[in-house]
Amino acid sequence: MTPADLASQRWFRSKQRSIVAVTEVDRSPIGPGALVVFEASFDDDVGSERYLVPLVGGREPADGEGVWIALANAIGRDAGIGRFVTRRAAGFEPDLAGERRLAVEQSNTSVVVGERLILKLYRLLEPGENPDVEISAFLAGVGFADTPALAGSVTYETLGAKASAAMLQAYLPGAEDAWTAMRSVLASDPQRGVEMAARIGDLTARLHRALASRPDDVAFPARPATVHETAAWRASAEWQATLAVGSLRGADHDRLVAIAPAVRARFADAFGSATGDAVVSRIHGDYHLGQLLARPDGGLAVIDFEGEPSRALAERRAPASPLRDVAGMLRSLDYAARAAEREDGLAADPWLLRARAAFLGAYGDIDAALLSAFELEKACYEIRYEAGMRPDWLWLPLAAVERLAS
Amino acid sequence: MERVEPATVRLATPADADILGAISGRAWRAVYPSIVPDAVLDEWIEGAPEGWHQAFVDRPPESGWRPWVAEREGAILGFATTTPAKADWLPPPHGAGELTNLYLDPDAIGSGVGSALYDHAAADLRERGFNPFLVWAFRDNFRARRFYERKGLVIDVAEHDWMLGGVPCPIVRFRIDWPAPEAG
Repeated sequence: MTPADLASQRWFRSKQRSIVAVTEVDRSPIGPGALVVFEASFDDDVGSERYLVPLVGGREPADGEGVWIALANAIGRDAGIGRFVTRRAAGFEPDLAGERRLAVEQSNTSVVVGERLILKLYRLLEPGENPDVEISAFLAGVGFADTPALAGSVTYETLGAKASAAMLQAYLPGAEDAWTAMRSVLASDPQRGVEMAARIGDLTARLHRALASRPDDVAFPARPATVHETAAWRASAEWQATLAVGSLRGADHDRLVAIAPAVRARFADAFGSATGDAVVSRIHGDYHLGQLLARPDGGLAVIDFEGEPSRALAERRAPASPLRDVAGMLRSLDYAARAAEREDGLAADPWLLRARAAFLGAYGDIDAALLSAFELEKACYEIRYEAGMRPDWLWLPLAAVERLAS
Repeated sequence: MERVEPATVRLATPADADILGAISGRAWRAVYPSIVPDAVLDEWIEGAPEGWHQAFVDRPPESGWRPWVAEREGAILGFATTTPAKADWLPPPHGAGELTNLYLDPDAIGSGVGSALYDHAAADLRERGFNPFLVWAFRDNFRARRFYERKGLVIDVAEHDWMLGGVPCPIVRFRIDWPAPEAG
C-alpha cells in the first residue's frame, strides 16, 4: 500500500497530515486473504498510526469471497488469528453464511454476516480500551437490552499494547437510523415525531441509569462532579463561544458579537451554580439521532459508543455529565426540525416546543440551566463546524444560539 | 517568607493570551539564558503573544489541550498546560497525558504558585483518565528538576537532544504512574 492509497481511504483519520512512509508490519492469513497491519509515519512529531487492512490478492475483500465470514466464524470458535486475539460472548454460535458489506463507510467498516450479525472493523488500531466494545460489554452485563447484543470482539495484541480490531454484534434487520426515520415522520405525521421524541427520552434515561448502575466498577464511576470538572466545563464553553465568534465574518460575526455577553452570562449562571449538584458518569459521548436505530416495530436501539472521534481515547473514557448527551439529542432534534421546515414545510417552532417537552418529560428531572448551557456550548461548536464545512447550514446553529441565549 | 494568600487556578481563555505571552517572555528570560541559545530564546520571546493567540485557535477544547493560570488578587502569576501526550521527541506510552508548560512570573517564584499549578494540572490529567503523566524538562534546568523530583516524578528518559538553532540542547523526561483509581 502506498501513501497515496492510504490517504485516499475514507477510514484514514489523519487527512491533514503528510504521510512519509507506509510499512507492512504484520500479515495474518484468514480465509482466502489476510489481515494486514500497515504503519503510517508522518512528517510531523505527533507519532505513527497503525491501520487494519484486510486484503485478498492485494485489494479489499469483495462480498462473497469469505474473508468477513472467516473472521466472524473465528470469533465464534474463539480461534485466534496470529496476533489477533478473539473473544466470544456467551450464547454466540458460529456457522454463519453470507456476507454483505454496508455502503455507509465512515471511520469503520461494517459487514452484515449471516443476516443476523454485524461485524464492525476498527480500521485505526488505537492502543487502549475501545469504549465501543467496553460499553457494549458493560451494558450486556447490567442487562440493558436496547443496544444490539454483543457476540464477540477481536483485539490486536503486540508486546506493549492491545488495540480493538473488530466487534461482532446483533444485526437488526429492517432498522434505519433515527435521523432518517425522524425526517420521514416529520414529512408525513409530525405528531408521531413527538411520540418518537418521548421514546428517545425514555431510552436515554434508561441508558444513563444503566451506565451509572455499577459505581464500584472503576471504569464506570458515578459521582458528584469535582470543582476542577465544573471549572473546566465553564472555561471550555466560553472558549467555544470565542472560537465561534472568530470563525464568522461580516453580518454573521456582528450578530454573534451582539449576543456574546448574554451567552457568557448564561455560562456564568449555569456553571457557577452547578458546583455541588452536578454528577458525572460514563456517557454515550456523541449522542444524536444518527446514533439510534429505529426498528420497524417502533423500538429504538443505541449504537456507537466510541465517543467523539476527535478526542484522545483516555478522554473519551473519562466520566462526564450525562446532560451532555441530553443536550446533544436536543440539538439533533433542532437540526431535524429546521431541515424539515425548509424541505417539508414543518412549522418547526411549535413542533420543537412539544417534542422537547416530550423528550425531557420522559427523561426525568434535570438542571435546566446546566442543560441549556451545554446546548449553547454545542451550538457554538456547530457554528464553527458549519462555518468551515457547510456554510449553507450556518443559519441553523446561529439562530439556535440566539434563541438559547435570549 | 511572608504569608501570602493562596493562589487560585482557573482555565485560561483566549482573552488571557496577551498576558500569557508577556509572562512567558519574562519567565523564559529569567530561566533559559545558558540553557537555550540566545537567538532561539529571543525568537521564542518575541513570538510568545502571537503563539498564545494561535494556540487557542489551533487547539480548541475538543483537542484536549487545557491552559491553566494561577491568579492572586486578580493578577496572573503563572501558567501550566495539559494535553494528551504527543510524540514531540519520543513516542509516549499509550494513554499518557503531558504537562507541556509550567512557568511563573519571576516575582512569583517561591510563593507556592508553581506547586498549586502543578497539583491542579496533575489532578486535571488524572480526572480525565490520562495515565501515566509526563513532563519534559531541560537537563540543565536544575530548579525545575528538583521541583518535579519533590512532586514524586522520576526520570524515564535520561537524555535526548532537542536541536535548537543547530545546537543540541539535552532534555530529560519525567514520568509518574498513578495507581489504579479507588472504587466508588
